[in-house]
Amino acid sequence: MLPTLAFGIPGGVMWAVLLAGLLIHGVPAGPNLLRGDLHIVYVVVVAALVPRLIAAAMVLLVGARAVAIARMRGDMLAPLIAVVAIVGVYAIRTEMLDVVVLLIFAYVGYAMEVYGFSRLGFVIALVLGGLIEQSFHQTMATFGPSGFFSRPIALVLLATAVLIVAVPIAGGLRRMVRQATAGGGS
Amino acid sequence: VSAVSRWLQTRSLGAIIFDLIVVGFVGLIVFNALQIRPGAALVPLLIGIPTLVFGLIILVLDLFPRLRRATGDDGKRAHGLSAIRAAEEEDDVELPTDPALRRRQAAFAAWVVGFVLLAAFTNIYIAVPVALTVIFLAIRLPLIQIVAIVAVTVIGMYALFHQLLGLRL
Repeated sequence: MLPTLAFGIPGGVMWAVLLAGLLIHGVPAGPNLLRGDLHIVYVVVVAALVPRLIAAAMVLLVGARAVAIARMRGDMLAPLIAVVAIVGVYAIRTEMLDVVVLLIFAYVGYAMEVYGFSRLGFVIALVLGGLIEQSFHQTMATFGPSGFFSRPIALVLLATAVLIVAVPIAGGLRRMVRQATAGGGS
Repeated sequence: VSAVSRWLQTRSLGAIIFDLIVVGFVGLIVFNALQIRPGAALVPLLIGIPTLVFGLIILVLDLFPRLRRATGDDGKRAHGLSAIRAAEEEDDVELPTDPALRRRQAAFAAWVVGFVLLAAFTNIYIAVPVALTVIFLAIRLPLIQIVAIVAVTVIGMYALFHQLLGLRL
């Protein structure tokens, strides 16, 4: 929860959905959320805590009987979930175009999962993209290109980014050289 | 024809279609970015051009699987952040591997599209019971269960959307 709320980096698909929802409603994710919209953070924290308490109480009360839900057939649940999701989307503006968008992104999400594209990376880009672009233009307008190299925090972040990119590449190259040397020696 | 079908059998058509969609979409963004003033176009181009290049590389690798094998790529996710990879693996869905499961998923997708079309041409309160009855008959649910589930769904929807939220569907 902390990286999601404090930095705008989702820790899982569930948090990615929450971040995308906040973004759609115009709530800035990341540090600005903690500064400007602290009440939303409190709501999220309470919303994460209260269901756990309710779930614990429900397990104690009806746990033995609730097991029957797990025996429900998936092919019976899937149409019901699809219907509720589609009707829910349609109900917001009673606009069929919203349902078409839902279908398109359902395919995109499915295809990304099946063909090995990162869905979390996609959401992180969606959430942080606007913030990065805005900050980039602010820096360029205030300091010019030198702002990325002359300011201490920017310099540390840049060095960290370079290291994150360079270290795995260097490791891979070292492995390749070692394998080539071992192959040549044998 | 047989050469084309043989060519298709050795490739993932779904992956190629999705690659084409990604390349087309990113290409459109890059093309539009080239039309706007240079300052505003900088970030879209910085992101768009590398994404387009990598999209084309993935498309070529999917078109020619031999190249993928030659580069030692196993087709698995390559992003390096272990935290992201772990989070995604945790949320991974069951992927269709056998043809029967794929067929069922395709049938379900067709049903969803059919439901949306029916809702567009009639209305939600007609489309929901009809679509649910059709799919429950297809999975051979007992008639009494079908009637009960459909009735509860429609009444629940009416109570929630119409009465509680005051929405006209």
